[in-house]
Amino acid sequence: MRHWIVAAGLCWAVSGGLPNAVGPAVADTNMQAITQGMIEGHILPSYVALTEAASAQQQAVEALCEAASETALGEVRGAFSDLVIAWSAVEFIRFGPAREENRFEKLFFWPDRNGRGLGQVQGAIANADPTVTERDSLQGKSVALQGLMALDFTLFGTGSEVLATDDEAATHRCAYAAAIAGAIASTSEAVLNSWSGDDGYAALMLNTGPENPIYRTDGESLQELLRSMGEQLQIMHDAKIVRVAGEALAEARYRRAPFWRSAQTIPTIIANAEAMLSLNEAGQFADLLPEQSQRFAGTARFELRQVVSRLQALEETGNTLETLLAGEDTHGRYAGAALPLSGALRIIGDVYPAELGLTIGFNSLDGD
Amino acid sequence: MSLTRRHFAGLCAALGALPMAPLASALGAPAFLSAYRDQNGDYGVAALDDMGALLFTERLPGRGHDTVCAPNGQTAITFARRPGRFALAIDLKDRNIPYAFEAAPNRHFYGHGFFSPDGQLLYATENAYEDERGVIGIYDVEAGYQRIGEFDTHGIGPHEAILMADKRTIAVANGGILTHPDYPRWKLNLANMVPSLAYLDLETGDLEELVALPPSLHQLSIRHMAQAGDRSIWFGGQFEGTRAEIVPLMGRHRRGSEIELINLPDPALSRLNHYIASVKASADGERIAVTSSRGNMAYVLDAIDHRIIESIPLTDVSGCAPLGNHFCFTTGQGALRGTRETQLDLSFDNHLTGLLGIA
Repeated sequence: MRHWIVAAGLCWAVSGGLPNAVGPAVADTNMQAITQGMIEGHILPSYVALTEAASAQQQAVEALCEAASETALGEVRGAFSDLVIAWSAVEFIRFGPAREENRFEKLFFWPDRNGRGLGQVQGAIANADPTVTERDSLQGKSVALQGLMALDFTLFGTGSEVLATDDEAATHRCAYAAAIAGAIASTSEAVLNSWSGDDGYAALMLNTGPENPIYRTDGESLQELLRSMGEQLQIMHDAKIVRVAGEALAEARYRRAPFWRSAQTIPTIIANAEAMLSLNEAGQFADLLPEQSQRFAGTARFELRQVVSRLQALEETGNTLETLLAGEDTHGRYAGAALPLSGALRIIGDVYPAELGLTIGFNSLDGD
Repeated sequence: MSLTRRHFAGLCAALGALPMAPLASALGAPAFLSAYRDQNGDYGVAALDDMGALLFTERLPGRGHDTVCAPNGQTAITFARRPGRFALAIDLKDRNIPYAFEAAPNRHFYGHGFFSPDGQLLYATENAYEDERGVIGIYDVEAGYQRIGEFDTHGIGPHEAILMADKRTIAVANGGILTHPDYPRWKLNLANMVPSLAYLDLETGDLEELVALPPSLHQLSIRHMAQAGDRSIWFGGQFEGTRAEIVPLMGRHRRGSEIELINLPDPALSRLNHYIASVKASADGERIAVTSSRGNMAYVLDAIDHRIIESIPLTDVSGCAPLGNHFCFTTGQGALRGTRETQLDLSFDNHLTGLLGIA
């Protein structure tokens, strides 16, 4: 295997200004400006925020391990909330540096069908596994043991209240939590570093051309971002709303949602939607789309704000996800978030690419 | 479980499709079959003659994938694309009403299969998704495609499976990607996929040989394959790792040996965009064709010295079938490039099946 990023970086300088492989109607659209806006206005600052939140989480857990108390545990849990909100802003990025070395799964191993990952975390705690309490050795282990879902269980799952005490069981659990927080900080930094600098992934996406190993045109870079946004909206719709709510009240399954233990399911879905809103603004779609289609940026904004406001209203009830999904009215309102999500998906996943002349081929879009 | 004609028609109606009357028919003998999507967004399977003219179509209740033809050339089966559960048996000669059947409970088709040499059994790659393992479902043709058993493929995500030239061995491409219909088309195990090639005894299903890629290529999902004239299996993969890495996408395997990776020269390799959609061998087994819909490129290789003989740039090319010692290619934009070039108002789906040379 050969890594091309560094070598290719030398060649891009000569490749700027080449025409995009798009239809004549949109040839004047500055796709690079849209991509650049999204990278500089959302992706890079959000990764910086993630590393800061991860670092804060690590420090809070280490303080808890040194001097356990209810207050210290409360601070750790608060920092976790900040961390998963920060993560939710970059969750849609499943390509590039997040894909290398399985960093995405190391940060967020979900869905965890059959609870296999959870079983590993529970086993490591129950057996006081000494190999999970050091960051370096933990990072060499299963992806399920070292990410946000592992930390969610460690800090909020069964038995987590021991963390506020000097109990013997707390020592291992806290050290494991500190190692997870350290691993998350380390992985987040690695992703951020790979995006940054002259030969980073941001430069790769912005310096397209025939010598670029991944993105030959500005259209391909933008297509990657739009496809990722579309996938994220689909995941929010299918896996976080519809599959959790079920088709009827009796079929609701709150445990299928991520972060129900830490009561962060709804806040993180809101943060997912806010990330899409932020990208919609940072990409300046309202100004940079072809003139006849600029109005769609407003439609996307409206739909995404609907998602946020509907879920915000549920969050303000102060009830747990379990309680919300057990009540007929609140269950319906949770499930109802799927509707504006579908609307946003249609605009960002279908309309934007079509208006930009970036519609992907039938086979290449979703081969097999 | 089988679906009656009436049930199947009902299913089509429920999906907003029309009854399955052929859209067109002509006198020519079918030479190619391909699943497609039409301009209304409806799905079907099309029969084409050797010049690429459309002979007839049959509607499908959802997106199809590959089509396999029985040894007698009478019947063809189009499988649903994963995670679909339908299969449609088409009468190519008498044009009787198609017969549809379904995957077993807790199984879905992956979209590929083959017939036994006597045509009495149909084999289909399937996902035993609750058990997280791959199987080959076995169907009794005479009994209305009743499912009579299954073989373990010794891997996750079996995609294409072929009957080898010895007529006794099944070669299976275990793609290695865990999926579940609860999360349609979501790849659940990218961090720890283990793609492999498995060889099974056709009669017993016993595992005869299992070969894996080196650990550094564990994210190269082995999907499609063909057997060359020297009996080696050529396969094409789809890479799930970071796209900044340039990895070999093709390999060749001889029984009893390690996998030999095919190192295409650059920029030919980069052009494939980490993705091979179809792999086919020419009639004489001396040439291998691969397509890449994501690279808008097809290559024909010499099966002996592995050189690229021909490069065919073609937008959204995916389907490929031998045409004597040459190849016919189809695209998602309705182009067919064989003896001549034709253009239809539909999107050809991933795979093209050649019928020439079949009884």
